Amino acid sequence: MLPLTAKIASIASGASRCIPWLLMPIRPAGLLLLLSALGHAQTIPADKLGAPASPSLLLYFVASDCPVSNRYFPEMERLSSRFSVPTLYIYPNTYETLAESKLHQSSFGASPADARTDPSGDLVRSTGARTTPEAVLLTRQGTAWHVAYRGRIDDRYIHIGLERGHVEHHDLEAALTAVSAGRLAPPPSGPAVGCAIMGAK
Amino acid sequence: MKAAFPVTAIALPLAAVLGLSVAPGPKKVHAAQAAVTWSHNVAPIVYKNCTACHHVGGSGPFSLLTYRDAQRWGTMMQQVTTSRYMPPWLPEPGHGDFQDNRRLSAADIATIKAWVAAGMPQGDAADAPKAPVYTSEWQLGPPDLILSVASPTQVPASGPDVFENFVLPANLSSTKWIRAMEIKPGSPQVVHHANVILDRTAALRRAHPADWQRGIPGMDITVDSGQNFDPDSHFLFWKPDSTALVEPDTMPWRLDPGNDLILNMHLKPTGRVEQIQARIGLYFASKPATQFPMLLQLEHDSTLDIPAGDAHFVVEDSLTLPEAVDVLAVYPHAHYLGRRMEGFAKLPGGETKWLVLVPDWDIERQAIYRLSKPLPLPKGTVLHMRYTYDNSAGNPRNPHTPAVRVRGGNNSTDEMGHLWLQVLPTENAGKDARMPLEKAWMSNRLRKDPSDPTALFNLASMDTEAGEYTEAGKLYTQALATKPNDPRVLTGLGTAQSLSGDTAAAQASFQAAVTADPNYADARFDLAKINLQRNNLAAAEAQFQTIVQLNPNDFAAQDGLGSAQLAQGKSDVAAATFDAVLKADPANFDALYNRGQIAAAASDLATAEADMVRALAVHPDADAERTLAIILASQNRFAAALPHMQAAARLAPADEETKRLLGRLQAELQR
Repeated sequence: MLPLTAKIASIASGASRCIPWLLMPIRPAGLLLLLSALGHAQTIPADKLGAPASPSLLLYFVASDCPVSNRYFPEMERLSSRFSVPTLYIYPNTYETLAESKLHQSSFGASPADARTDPSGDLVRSTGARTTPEAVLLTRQGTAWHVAYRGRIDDRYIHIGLERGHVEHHDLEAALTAVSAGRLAPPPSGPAVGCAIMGAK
Repeated sequence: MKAAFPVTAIALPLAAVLGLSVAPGPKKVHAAQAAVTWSHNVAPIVYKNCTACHHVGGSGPFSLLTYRDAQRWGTMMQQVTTSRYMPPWLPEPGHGDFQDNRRLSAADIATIKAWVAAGMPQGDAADAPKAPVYTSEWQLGPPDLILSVASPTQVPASGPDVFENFVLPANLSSTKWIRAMEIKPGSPQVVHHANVILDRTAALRRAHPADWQRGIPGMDITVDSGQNFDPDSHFLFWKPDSTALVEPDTMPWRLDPGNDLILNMHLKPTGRVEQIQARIGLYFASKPATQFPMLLQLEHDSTLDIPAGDAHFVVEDSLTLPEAVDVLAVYPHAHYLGRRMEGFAKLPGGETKWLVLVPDWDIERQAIYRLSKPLPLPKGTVLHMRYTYDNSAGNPRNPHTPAVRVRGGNNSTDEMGHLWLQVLPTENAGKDARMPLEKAWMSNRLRKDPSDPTALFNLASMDTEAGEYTEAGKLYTQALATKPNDPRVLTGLGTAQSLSGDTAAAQASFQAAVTADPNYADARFDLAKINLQRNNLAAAEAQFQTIVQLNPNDFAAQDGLGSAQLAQGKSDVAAATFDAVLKADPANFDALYNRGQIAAAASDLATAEADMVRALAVHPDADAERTLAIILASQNRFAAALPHMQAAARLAPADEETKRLLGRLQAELQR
């Protein structure tokens, strides 16, 4: 299990304030350093996440108008709860406001306080997220967050319009299990299926 | 957003595409003009094919009415049109010609693809067609009758799909013919599809007295079709792009007092708890139907026993048409393991005509397919279905991991293979032309399963209708071997026995039916009637009383109660019973006739005369005419009495007593 920590209260309190995400240099010695889908390691300053005590952080990229990400809310909540991992729901599409995102969180059983927007597109760029829903699991090393896993939650969707009767690969759950045991997260077994992110360029 | 790619790079292939789809004539195409834009090229496709669902408040999960909407979803539009997931349309072209064909042309798909590749340019906004306007109001104006599900139902946020049946009692006081129906599912994004089933006998409500208002789980249901030959005739189906379902002028469907509508819904969790409460709007026709289609089914569910891992399990059925029909619509149906569905007809001359071909079945996108024009099939045509199932791990829709043996059944984890056809007999056999079709269908079922209780029951009922009581009795008895205490079968057997004159056996059968289901009013009514007939008057009265207590609006039982009371000489009690009926149903013939008889016996000739006149206004009847003539004659009003006695003689020419009274009356008048 991941250490029990309180959920992060906020990254940026302002509704549409730009969050100054910065890419930090790669730390060659970092054991949890992983390659992103783009082929280069990514780190994010830990203090920018407002959760210095937390060793890991889970980001869900979601969109209020994406039926696929909406259907994943119960599963996303289940995983956050099971691993007691601090979780933020990132609404990356530039047309979504924080106020609307909080309302959406409420109606789908997630905490409004965990909603964030990404008006500058920094979060999308620094994590490499492209789709909603998509999960990014960050682990903290010193003063930086490292992307330990980015990709689909599971393999329920093969593509839009083709859904499995049964989930066979719980990719994010496997990543959370591995990281909580101090191992490297296995990469996702297939692409994330959902709605394209319309983030800031 | 501006186009991100050089226009010229895609100009040539696009010009070719446009030439196929929207650019008529030999218009000179400049490279710059050939760029595919939302306004000029894509909006017309989207408005024609997508926005009926994809508008705010529609059943699609997002709107596509504006350029900004389309730009947001452009990439997905390209993916889902290329894969042909959208618009939802399963039939293979060239294998049946259907109305409302939603299949996009290859040219339209190419246009969308090119537009996305070009960076989704808007083009000149003034060039765009006017966006269609959608309303949440009833499409045909205010309905004549709106039925609502009793209470809202919660659909859970996650988990498997939910299949629920809601009972909507129509509460009609007289028969109506329905020319159109619109279903408002409540929350269109939750409801995947819905079927309305006519429950003529309120069977589902009776079977679930405590919980019918909440909804009864189940993917497919079977209901009792009632006392008379009355086959299902219409596909009453809703899917996300459905609006009002309008029937041809000659083919409205009948809704009687006491009928329920069952709304069978496939509900899909959306990620949050949703509440739904469906409504159905009905529009009445001014005239009854003059053409009577029926639904025919091909199936062979008893062979559905699919081994785990079998990727190519085939189920087939065939049915020879005993008479010529027009096929009006088809509805292929399976659950999650169905893969390829073939429906075709082999004509007597050897020609094969496709009814439908679904190469890649998806229960999520099932639909009724109405033929563009009726397909005539001559007598002797053999209808075929051939469905292939994939119960391997290679079928992503397989609900079982690992795969397990799957058999036929009504649950979503069971499998099913049905091909329903809506057909219209084209030769009038003098009586109900659907009867031979029903007989052929049921005989076919019996061929596949000699103990099929539904086939045995329906064939027995048809034999009863045809006066073949002995044969009917045999078939009912065979059905009892599979369903030993089925109250419907026991009641059918009792009816056949009663009609063949064996009232003692009939009484025993009806008694067994009542014992099996004390709330089954039809069996108790028949038992009471037999008791009345056999002069067991106290027993008859008690049984009619029980029915009336269960349903005070059962006027036939009220009339029976009054008759049993009258036969025991309890005239005052009987008169009160008939009074009560007439208060609720002033045109009840039996109550008027019986009350008139009681008044006549009590020498209250004014009341007696008034009741008989009212009774005869309901429908002609020899006994009522004769009684009225006697009432008038006993007041020496011989001239007034004569036409009624003549009418009685006309209606019952074999009745010697009427003949004798008519002679006396004529002699009286001559004197």
